[in-house]
Formats: sequence, C-alpha cells, structure tokens
Amino acid sequence: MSAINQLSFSHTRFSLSSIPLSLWAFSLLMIVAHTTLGSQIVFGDARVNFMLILTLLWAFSYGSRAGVCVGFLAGLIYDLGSSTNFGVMMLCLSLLGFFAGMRQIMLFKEDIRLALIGGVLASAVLEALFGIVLIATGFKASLLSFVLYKFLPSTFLDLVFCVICFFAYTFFLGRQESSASYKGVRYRS
Amino acid sequence: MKLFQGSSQVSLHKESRRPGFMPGTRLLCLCIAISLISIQLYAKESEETGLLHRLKAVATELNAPFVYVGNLVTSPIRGASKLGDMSSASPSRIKELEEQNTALRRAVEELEEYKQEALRLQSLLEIQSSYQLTSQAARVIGSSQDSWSRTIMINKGSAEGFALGMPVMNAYGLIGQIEKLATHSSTVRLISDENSGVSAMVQSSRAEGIVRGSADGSLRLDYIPVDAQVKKGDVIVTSGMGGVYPKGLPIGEVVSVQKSSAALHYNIRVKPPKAAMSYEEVLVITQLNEPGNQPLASVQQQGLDEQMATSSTQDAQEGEVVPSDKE
Repeated sequence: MSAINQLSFSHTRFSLSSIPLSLWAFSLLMIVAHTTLGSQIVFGDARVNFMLILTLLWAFSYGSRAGVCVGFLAGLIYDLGSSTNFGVMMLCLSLLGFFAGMRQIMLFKEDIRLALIGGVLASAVLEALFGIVLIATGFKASLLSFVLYKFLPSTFLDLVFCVICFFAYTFFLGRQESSASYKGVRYRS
Repeated sequence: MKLFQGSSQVSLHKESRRPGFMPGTRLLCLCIAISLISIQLYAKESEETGLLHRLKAVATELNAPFVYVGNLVTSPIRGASKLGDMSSASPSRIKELEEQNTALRRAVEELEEYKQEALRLQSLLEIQSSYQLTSQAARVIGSSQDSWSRTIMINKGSAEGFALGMPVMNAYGLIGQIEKLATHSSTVRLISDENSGVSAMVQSSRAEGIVRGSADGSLRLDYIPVDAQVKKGDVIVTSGMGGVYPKGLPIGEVVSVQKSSAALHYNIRVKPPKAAMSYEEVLVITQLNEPGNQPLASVQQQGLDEQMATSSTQDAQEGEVVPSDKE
C-alpha cells in the first residue's frame, strides 16, 4: 500500500496524499462534466473536451509522468464514450500530457499566465493532432471542412473552457492553501 | 498533513535522473504502444463480438444515465431558446405557415384517398404495402460527446430487440442507423455524419445515387449521372437497395444542382427538413415487412450502410450495399 502511495512523478517525489484536494475535486468534476454535459455544450458542431483540461491540470501541476498517466486514462474515458476510433484520444492525450508537463511543475502556483498560454497551445495542438490521427486511420474529411467545421470551433470551445477551469482551479487552490496555512501547514513550491 | 516535501528533494531527484531521458519517456512509449495496438485491434475486430466494441457497449450502458441527467439539466435552457425562436416569428411568417398548413391538410386528405385506393388495388393483387414497417419508439437521451461524429443516444437497446444497423427515423423521415448497441441504450449515427452513406433516389425521376453527410451538416447526393433529370426542390427518398433501409423514406430535398464541365455526375446538395434536425423521439425500424424481407436483425450482418461510402463508383451506381473490410 505504501508503495502505491509513494508515486514518483516527473521532477519531484510526492505521496498521493500530498495532492491537493482541489485537484482531486476538479478531476472528478471534469469527468462528471464530460459524461453529463460533454454532449450538451455545443458550438457549431464542436464539443468541449473536458478530458483535455483534466490532463493539463495534472501535467501542469505534477509534470510529464503525471501528464502521461492522466492523459492516457482521460483518453480512455473519452474513447469509451465517443463514436470515433478507439485509442485515438488515448494516444493524443498521452502525448499532450507528456509535452505539457515538460515545461515545469506547479505551474498554477508559479504563473497562471504561462498555464493559460499552455492551455491555448494545447487546445490547438490536440485538435489538430486528433484530426490528423483520425484522418490517417480512415476518417473521411477534406482539409477545408476539417479546419472550418472541426478544428476552429473545437479549439475555440476548448480554449474558453480551459481559461474558465484554470482560473477556477487556481482560485480554489489558493483558497485551500491559505486555509491550510492558517492551520499551520506550510507550502513550498 | 505534509503537503509538499520541499525543494531539496526536488533537486536531488533531478540529479539522479538518467541523462538524455525525460521523466515519463518509458511510460509514454508504453502508452503509445497500447494506444496503437488498440486502434489497430478496434479497426480489425468484429463489431458484435470484438472485445473493444463490447467494452464500448458496456461504457455506453454505464454512461447512459449520466447523459440522461445532463440532458435533463440542460433541457430548460434548450426549451427557453426554442421559445425565443417561436416568439421571434413575424406575423407574415405565421400567416405563411398557416397557409402552408391549410395546403398540407388538403394534400393529406387527397393522399388519404389515394392510399385507400392503393390498399384496395394491393388487396386485389395480393401484394403487401411497402410501408408496413414494424418499429419501436425510443427517446433521444443525448448526442455525441466528440466533435468528429454526428450521433445521438437513444434509451433502448438489445433488450428491446434492437440490432446493429437498424434504420432510425423520425416524423420527417430517415435520420440514421444504429451504430453501437448496449442492453438498454443505443448510439445512432446520423445520415448527416461524414462517414454515413445511404442508397437513395430522386423521387420524381427515380435516378439513383448515394446520400452522404458532410462536415457542415448538409447532405450531398452523389453518383447521379448528368443525363438524369434533377432540379432544385426535388424530394430525395431512400431507394431500398441493399435491404437495410426501407424504400421510399424521405431524406430531404434538393437545394442546389451543379455540374462541372467534364463531369459524369452532378454535384447535388440536399437539405433535410429543418424540423427533422431536432431529435426528441425516434422510431427504430425493427422489421421490413416487404415481401421476401427478413427481420432486420439478420440483415445487420450486411454491415452498416455507412460503409457504402467506401464503395466504388460503379457499385454505387448499381445501388448495391457494398461489403467493406469490417464485415
């Protein structure tokens, strides 16, 4: 049990109990939002990819290894509910989680602007990568229709929700930390 | 509770890393390998018995209540937006619709007469009507969760006798085909999906082609030869070729007909009826009662009609359901 609890992620070692409650809560919230509201929030034909936001939250907080792990699992959840080829989002989110976590850890504590820029880039990269992999695996779409009807609206919607979720997460993280500091626990990044 | 263990350990761990490898590289390679194997396996395996397809079906079943809750939660918002549309209708538009309604009522009465006559003639000739379909109603509980497919989820599945490939229609005509099946829910791929294909014909000239979806949600009718008679406003119906879709179900009407200089086929755009795009309740056709037709559960072996989209031009013109590699 202690071995499971002592995971090593990226640049740092930490126990699962050291992960802030707000991250667990946001992870659960993202999964619930994906299953319940994922198909209801529509812009053009695009849907919000809450699994992308979940992956970025972990990758920006705990680095590449956490990004890959969570990205893979988030991709699995996405693929199980989607009508596209199984495994494509698993592949894309694993890759994205890895590269998103390369920059630095605890990005939400260090610099929220960097996290937002990362979110914008990641949204665009994911939608482009997902489209390319889908087309490569036999999905029929022309380049123009891909860009106009899939890539642009999806990226826009992902981006909007990334910004909202990142701000909300940073706000709750800050509140949780100030509450913990008040109780005598010290945080360092 | 100790929440973070400090910078000293971070730096120690950094130093102990193997040079040249990012942390998580091995894990990434493993995940990529699993993903690629999954993609390959999913494409190759059987849609009914394949492990990943069954896993997806189980996930669909588990997901259905959540989708239903989401649908329920957002229904007041959708209702309000519809109310907005209705209240914004101008008096001239309302008058126009009333006139249309009167004309349609007259047409229905006229058609009722024709129907009675047709029934009498059919009974004389002892042939069954092609419109005798066995169907079951289902409620739409959600739509696709990704941006790349146009699907809807309905609240009935294999427990109610549904099978893969069964056609789905609403009051305005054909809307799609069952693509994923769980015990108490199913996923329907709409005909407006880019990977859908339906064997269809122009009602007036009987010219046959294939209706396909496109990225913008409109439909296009392919493989209609340039010598066929097609004009704007023509109604497009299913041709019934292949035995998956019943013959004569309305799909939409022609909104534009274009012809390139040296082309052999028209470039035809088809628009489904506007009201057909709001799905709440649907009918799943479980059996075609045309003479010689078997229940659709056995027709499913012929594969989803969407795979016709991969067929060759020649096959498409002949109106056959072309088997794909998935079958």
